[in-house]
Amino acid sequence: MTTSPSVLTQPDATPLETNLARILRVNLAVQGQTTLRGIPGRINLQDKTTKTSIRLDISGEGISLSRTQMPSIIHVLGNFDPFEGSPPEFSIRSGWRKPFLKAKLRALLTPHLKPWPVAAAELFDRSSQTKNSDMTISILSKDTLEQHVWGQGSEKVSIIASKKTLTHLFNGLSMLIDDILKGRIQCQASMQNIALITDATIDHWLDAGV
Amino acid sequence: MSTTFKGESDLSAWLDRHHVSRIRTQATDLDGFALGKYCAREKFLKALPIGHNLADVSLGSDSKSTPHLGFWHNFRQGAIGDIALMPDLETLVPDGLESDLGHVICDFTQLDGSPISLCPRTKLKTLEQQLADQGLSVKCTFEIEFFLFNNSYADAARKRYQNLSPVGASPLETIYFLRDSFHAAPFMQKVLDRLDWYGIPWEAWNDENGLGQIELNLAPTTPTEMADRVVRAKQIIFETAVQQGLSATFMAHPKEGFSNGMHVHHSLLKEGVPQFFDPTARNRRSPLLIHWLGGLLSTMEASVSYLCPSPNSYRRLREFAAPPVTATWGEENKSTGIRLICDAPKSARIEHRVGAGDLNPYLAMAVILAGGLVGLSDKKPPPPEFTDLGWGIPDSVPRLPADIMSAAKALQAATKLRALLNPEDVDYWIKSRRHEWMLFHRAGIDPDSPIPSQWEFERYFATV
Repeated sequence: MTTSPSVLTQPDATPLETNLARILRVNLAVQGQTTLRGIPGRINLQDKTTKTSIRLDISGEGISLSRTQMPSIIHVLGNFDPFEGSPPEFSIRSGWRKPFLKAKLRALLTPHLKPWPVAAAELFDRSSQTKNSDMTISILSKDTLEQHVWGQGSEKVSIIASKKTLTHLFNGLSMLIDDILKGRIQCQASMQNIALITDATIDHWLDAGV
Repeated sequence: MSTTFKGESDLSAWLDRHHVSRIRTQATDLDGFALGKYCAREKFLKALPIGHNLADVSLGSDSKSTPHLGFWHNFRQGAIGDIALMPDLETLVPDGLESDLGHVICDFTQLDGSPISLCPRTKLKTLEQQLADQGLSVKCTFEIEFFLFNNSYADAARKRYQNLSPVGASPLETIYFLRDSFHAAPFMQKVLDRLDWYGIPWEAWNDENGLGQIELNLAPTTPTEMADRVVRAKQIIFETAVQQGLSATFMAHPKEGFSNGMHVHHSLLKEGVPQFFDPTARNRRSPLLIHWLGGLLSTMEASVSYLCPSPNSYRRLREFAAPPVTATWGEENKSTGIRLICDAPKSARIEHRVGAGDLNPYLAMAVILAGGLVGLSDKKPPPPEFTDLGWGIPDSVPRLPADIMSAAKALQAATKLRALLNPEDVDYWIKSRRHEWMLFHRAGIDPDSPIPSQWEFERYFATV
């Protein structure tokens, strides 16, 4: 049996770091431990929007994230802040001339997005707040007209959005209340049920129980 | 001098006697903000005993009054409803400045008057009652620190809170410097006059270390009454600043190198007799004191979430910056999380030094009492007394949580503390801290900088 390498954040990790850690955890689980082979031991990342710098220290055991900057031959500039609901994009800034390793690095940092019905099912299944509740959650992708329903409760929740928005939401790249406030999602429900589902998407976004 | 309604029974007669035709209600939300309404006398009387309504999101909003839309508490209504502000008539007092105005402190309740456990004042009363059930009471006081500027609030906002002119004489960062105090004296005299009018006894005030920084010490009393006095004193300081074209801020860390703390002194009593000092015990420390200390220390990491409620609070917790950074205690040690004073029966007390200037006094006192109650239940001694300076020491001495989410996680894990404070309320509090933390980071702020961000000034300068 093989185990995925660990991805650790500092106790004072920012949302940027916790979210990047979640992306790395998913990708390492999907791609396997060998994906780290050949990648330098230290990579500096900088978020284009917030200018926050993140350092990745990579070893055979896994990856640790911190904000303390140290010299590195790899500098990656990109959008690592998914608050806007778009998956992080990045470009490798320095002259690193190893296309194969560059591709591995890109694969490591790019979010692995599951189809939204799969991701939504996983979220509703693991969320203690939406599980065993009185909700019936109906979700419609307005561009593909694909519709799924979860739960059999008496309280109806209707969510309508584009496939892209739903994919980002249920893969942990955005939060329900944000998408509603920004007009990307139409959601008809009680305030309580909006709050409960949003809470679950925030937990999912942070990959944490708190 | 004011005459409060406390001890009287005929409300109309009291209102007549003090010519009160309007009453300002005041309750404190989770972030410590003073909320309420100005009510006509008739409306106020008609709404008694439950009090007037207000939107339930007033207790479910963040420090910018944005409703908490992303998490839930069962006191709220499904589609935004009302709750009530129930006046505690024992706190009714004439304003003193506006001749026909009265003030009253309230609790958030449901519309039928049933309590809302999330209400900070209700929470503190619950903890006080738990102590009373064990035959104990608490005497406590808070040290109030704030920065005073010659700029009005509007001017400070126009200047984006940069290069403000502190009230004082010296460009040096002095403390107890009487020439600086003299500059602040006209302001403080008005503040003290109003405290006197409200029946809030004060003991002293002085120039503090930061430019324009002042510390005010109130006389000790029971926890809920003390927290009432703190929120009233802060409101008086704010209103006096407005009237004099000045600005005062209780922000925890408004300036690189300088912070506002709110230290909490407290002692336990049984039938009115202080219980911490025991002349026959080792170091004159009573077993009750030792157990209480043990509880405060074992829960200190978790209590930081309530004592340091904002992202700005954590800029204050730096090595050698005066506030403590470790869960330690020591007698007459001002560098540890807790300073013990145990020199005489009546003055023996604990000074809890972790609290930031922006804490909610009701919740801060509640978490301190809950920590002490854990100690009384566990009956375990605290870790060894720390006699060295509590800064610059090896990592083997555990540090207090250094950011709002680490503190929230510590609170999440503190089973006994959570049980005493009501787990549903603690979870809601934790989520409200997560909300504040995410907004802080979304503004692209450097959490490691010693300099507060514009976002923090705009959010906290005039509000906390």
